[in-house]
Amino acid sequence: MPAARETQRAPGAPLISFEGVCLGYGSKEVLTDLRFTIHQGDYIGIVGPNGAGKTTLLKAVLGVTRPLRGRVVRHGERGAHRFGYVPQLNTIDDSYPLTVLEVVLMGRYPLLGLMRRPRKADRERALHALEQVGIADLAPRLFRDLSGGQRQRALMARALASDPCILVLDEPTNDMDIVGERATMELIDRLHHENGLTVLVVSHLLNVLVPHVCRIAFLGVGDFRLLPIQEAITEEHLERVYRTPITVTEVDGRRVVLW
Amino acid sequence: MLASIQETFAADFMQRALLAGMLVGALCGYLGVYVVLKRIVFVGVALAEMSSAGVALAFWAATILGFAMEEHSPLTMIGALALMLVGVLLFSLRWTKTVPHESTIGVGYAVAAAAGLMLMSHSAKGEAHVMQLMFGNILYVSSREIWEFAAAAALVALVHTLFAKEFLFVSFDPETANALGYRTRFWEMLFYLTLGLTIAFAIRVAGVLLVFSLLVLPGVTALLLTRHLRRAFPVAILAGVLPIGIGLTLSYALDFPSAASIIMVSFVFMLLAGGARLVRG
Repeated sequence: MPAARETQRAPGAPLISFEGVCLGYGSKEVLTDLRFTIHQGDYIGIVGPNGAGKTTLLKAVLGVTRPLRGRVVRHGERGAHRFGYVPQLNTIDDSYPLTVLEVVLMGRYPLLGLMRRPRKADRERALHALEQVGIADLAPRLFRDLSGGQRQRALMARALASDPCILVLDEPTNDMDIVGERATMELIDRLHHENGLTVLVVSHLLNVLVPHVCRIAFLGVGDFRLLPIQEAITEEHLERVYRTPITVTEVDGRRVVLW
Repeated sequence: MLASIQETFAADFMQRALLAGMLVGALCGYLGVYVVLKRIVFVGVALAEMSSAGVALAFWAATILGFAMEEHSPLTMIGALALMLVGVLLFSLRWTKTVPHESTIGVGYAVAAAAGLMLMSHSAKGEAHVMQLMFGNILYVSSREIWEFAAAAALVALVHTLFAKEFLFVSFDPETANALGYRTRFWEMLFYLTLGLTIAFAIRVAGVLLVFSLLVLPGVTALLLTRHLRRAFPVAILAGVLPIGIGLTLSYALDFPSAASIIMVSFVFMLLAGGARLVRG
């Protein structure tokens, strides 16, 4: 069963606002006129096909790339924007013979600063992060020997080890079967609800996100608008966005989109 | 056997060769773990070639400008370092998406090799002599060259000790490192700089072929023998050092070229490591 979504809760304090932002590379514009705000406690899904600009948007949220036009405003104190980032699995070089603990410990590196080595407290935090995702027993194993689902959990643990305020996940269920997909999304739900983390998940699969997130936006189809899930996942709205007949139904309390 | 080893290293030049080789083997062995894991093996030989071209450029410039230049003139080192820096800049950054990065490295290697040959052919020093200076020979290493390499090695070792975790993170997962605020381009360039510096000084001591081999074979040996990266580095250092003494001894006893002997011993080490890996499963 999906976690109960906080659809009626008032939004928390604003964290990051995109004001008329245009993103791209060089002179090539990929996304234009982005206007939305990520609030504390948000659980946001971004859906779009490959090449729609999902990773470009993520990089702008993370502050890695600057907008071509418009501005990205980061509200509040600097520490309020500490990110935990979970990349796509296929971007990781699995030839490195690193243990799971060593990989998770990397999440502490940005907190240590230059020329400082991880200490006992950092190792303990990394182990705690592994407990949070349920794979503490895998700490001494090699990362490259893990299954896809286990690696995803290890990368989530790494993101948690950095004590983030905002958890950003790029296609966390790629190359997973339905069991792995469900386990991953339920873990993200739990981290959001139990840790109060603001979560931003990107996926090209609508039905992966719909049962879990509170707000959703679509890239590459129509205008980018971040809407509450009840507003966004209706046949009327989706047919306007995708320009094709859509059926929205519920199965075991879970909203499912069919086309 | 001990007497044979004593006899081998009785002469000063053999002792210098042993010391120089062990220093080069240790540092190249360590860096070689990254070279193998980052799949930049070809970069090593390309940087070595560019450094050599820099030496040839220095001699050619001396010829054109009409002044005599000593064998170990600082200008040769300046030439080597200058072209090494060009190589670092070219190879550490992705300049265009149109041409694969590997091709940029190939172009750099080919052009540097050709330029070196062309410049060498017009050098007053003579081809053979300049070849020796460009490509090095461990048996002719001077005390000064050993000190110079030791100083460069100390600097590289210091940088890698201070920034070990940064190099590891940026190499293993540059995307996440970038997302968390690391300037990955800077760290990549710094890594290539330490590699280039090592190569520029090492080729004068040990020659292009031996340096390139020491950047590959010990790293592969270590990765075959160990399961964890933290153990691979000390094993790679050992795998870089041990073949030097054994190779020089065999070279002396059997009258084989020294560099080739060391490389073959290093290769045997790698085969043994591979065998051990197969047996271990």
